[in-house]
Amino acid sequence: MFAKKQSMADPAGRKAGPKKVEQPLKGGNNKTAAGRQSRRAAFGDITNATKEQSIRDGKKKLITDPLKPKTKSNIPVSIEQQPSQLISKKEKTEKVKALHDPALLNVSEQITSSQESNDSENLNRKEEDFSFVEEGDASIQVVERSLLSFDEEKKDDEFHVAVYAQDIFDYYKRRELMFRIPPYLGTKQCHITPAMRAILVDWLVEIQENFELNHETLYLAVKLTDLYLSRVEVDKELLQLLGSAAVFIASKFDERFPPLIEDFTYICDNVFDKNQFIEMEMEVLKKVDFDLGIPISYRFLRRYAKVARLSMETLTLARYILELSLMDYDLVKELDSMIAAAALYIAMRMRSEGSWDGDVVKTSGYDLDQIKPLVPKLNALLLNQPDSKLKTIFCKYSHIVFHEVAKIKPLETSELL
Amino acid sequence: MQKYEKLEKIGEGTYGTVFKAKNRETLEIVALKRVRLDDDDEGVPSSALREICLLKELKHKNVVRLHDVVHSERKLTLVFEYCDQDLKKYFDACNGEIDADVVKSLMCQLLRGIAFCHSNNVLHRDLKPQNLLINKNGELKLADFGLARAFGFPVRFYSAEVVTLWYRPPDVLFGAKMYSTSIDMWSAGCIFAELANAGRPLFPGNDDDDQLKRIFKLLGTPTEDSWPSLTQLPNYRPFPMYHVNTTWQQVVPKLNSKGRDLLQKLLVCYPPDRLSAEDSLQHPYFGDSSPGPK
Repeated sequence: MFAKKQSMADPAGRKAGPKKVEQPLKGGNNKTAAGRQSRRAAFGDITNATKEQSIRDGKKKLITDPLKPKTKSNIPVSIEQQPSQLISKKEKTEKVKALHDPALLNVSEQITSSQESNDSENLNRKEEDFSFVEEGDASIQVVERSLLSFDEEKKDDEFHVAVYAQDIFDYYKRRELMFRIPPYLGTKQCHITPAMRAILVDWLVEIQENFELNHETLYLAVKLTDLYLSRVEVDKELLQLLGSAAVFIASKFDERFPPLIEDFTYICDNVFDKNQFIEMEMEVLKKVDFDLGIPISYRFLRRYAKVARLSMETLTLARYILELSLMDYDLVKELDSMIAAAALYIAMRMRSEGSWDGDVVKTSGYDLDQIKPLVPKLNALLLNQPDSKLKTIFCKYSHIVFHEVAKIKPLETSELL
Repeated sequence: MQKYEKLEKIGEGTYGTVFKAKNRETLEIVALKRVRLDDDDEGVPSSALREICLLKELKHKNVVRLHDVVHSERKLTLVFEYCDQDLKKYFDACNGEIDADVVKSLMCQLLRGIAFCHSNNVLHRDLKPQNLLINKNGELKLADFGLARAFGFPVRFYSAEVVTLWYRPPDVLFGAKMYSTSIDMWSAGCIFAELANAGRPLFPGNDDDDQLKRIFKLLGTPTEDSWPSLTQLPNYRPFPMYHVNTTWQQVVPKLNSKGRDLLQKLLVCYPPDRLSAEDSLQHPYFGDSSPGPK
């Protein structure tokens, strides 16, 4: 597959070649702050081809460290699926009211201003943004929490946002069944191995970081890739094209400023041309029937952590575990809501915070016995880290912005069960 | 696309040409929205992508139905149910006279469509007469979801470049990027007044400033008291303190007092105080004629 021409995992490949410098910077819709453009420039170069070139030229320009997490990737974002009509009218009305909470509106202004501020902001600022958003959210979290223990009769009071949120997630839980992915390697796919898939996902995480995409975009892209692979046989040479087209589609669905095709052909070292890219986009869209409202584990996790009132550190650790889970083909067949639960449980145990009972059981619908079967698989991802080659996620979560959670010592699996 | 026989061009949507066509097999009349996929472009336009995804989940009688998506070389065709005209054309044809019951019926249907979208976490973000279709049975349908998006929970910042100027709420005119369902409710208020006045737009501004002036002249200039954190909005700038000297009766002379009350509750500058679609449907204006939002 692309390993031949693009050794994505090679850390040396992160150096920029001269091409980087020449590359015209094209921002999505250049209406935004100038920062947007410069961010685009910071592609981590991931190809051998450019690496070789840079060595030949005798230059080894270090670009912005691609491992350096950027603000946007830390900001938890929203639910993009459309929940059902299953929510009762009353509850919806309440929710709409709650969305108008002036506290939220205030938050927005501050977020907006920090978002638009220059990209050269220091890490502290970014960290502030990070925690700030989470805090802004905390008002909702409190509501959710109390409502979960509220009686039915209390449903008429102000805080209906909680009931509504739970309805959304219940809907997601039903809806995720529509998108279950059957095992496909060795059946549908004859030329692709779990290792190739892991390399691809590792690379997609790099793209997410370097393009500063929302985490939802990454998770949706992986989901689209797996869905497609479960339906259509793909030549291994085209796996990278598939993965990047999936990111492209997911970006269009969720991002305000999706990257351009040129950005993708560039990071694929022009192995694919624009037409191939456009064809693959359409091909994926058709095979998933244009249905992009797929519930993803990232959203479930956030909801659980909020309801359980866990610290940002624990949520971040769980996010690290969850992101590692994207790389493991064996977990593709599992339900996103359950993987999220198991990842959070492990994080809670590792940080000795909270316990798997009460509201988190209610909101997830899983008790400990139900999630335990997934625990050994997920914990193995921690125990085996860092893999010498595929350590993008490990590096990302070793950063201070992510509370260095990747450095936390894992527990023995036996301690978790 | 052999399945459909093109009959005539109907108009231009946000991102594509719309044709009236006939299904050769079933003889059903449909609207085809053709999205060209040029080599120079970025593949499927994100507006088309979102419209397709969102409409695949939004099935309601006051939301235009997307029957099918057909891909053929260099174009993507969205197959919609056909409606005879949009509200704009309806206005043009009505000669300045719309029956009060028709106004009520259309407004009720508009609100039902909006309530459905909002309860399915979708913001339309471009409500205006041109995007409201009316079929020969007098059914109104929300169309053109090219600017629509699923809104998050919690909401997050979105583009401030949404909604056609005349129907754009003051918070968005001041650059607010965090908005929610209230964005569509302002548009609904503007459309309500336009319905009541048989097609005369309420706030036909020339630019952002003129638009805000027109709004404040009617509703009074908001202050930090009436609109907390107003001055913190990204594009906030002070406006003269206009003295309100127009009565609602002068604004919408043909609308009854209950209707005027509803209109006032929709056209509220401070977003959280704007009436929701669901609550609007419970308003006495609709009396017995509204069996609720579904």
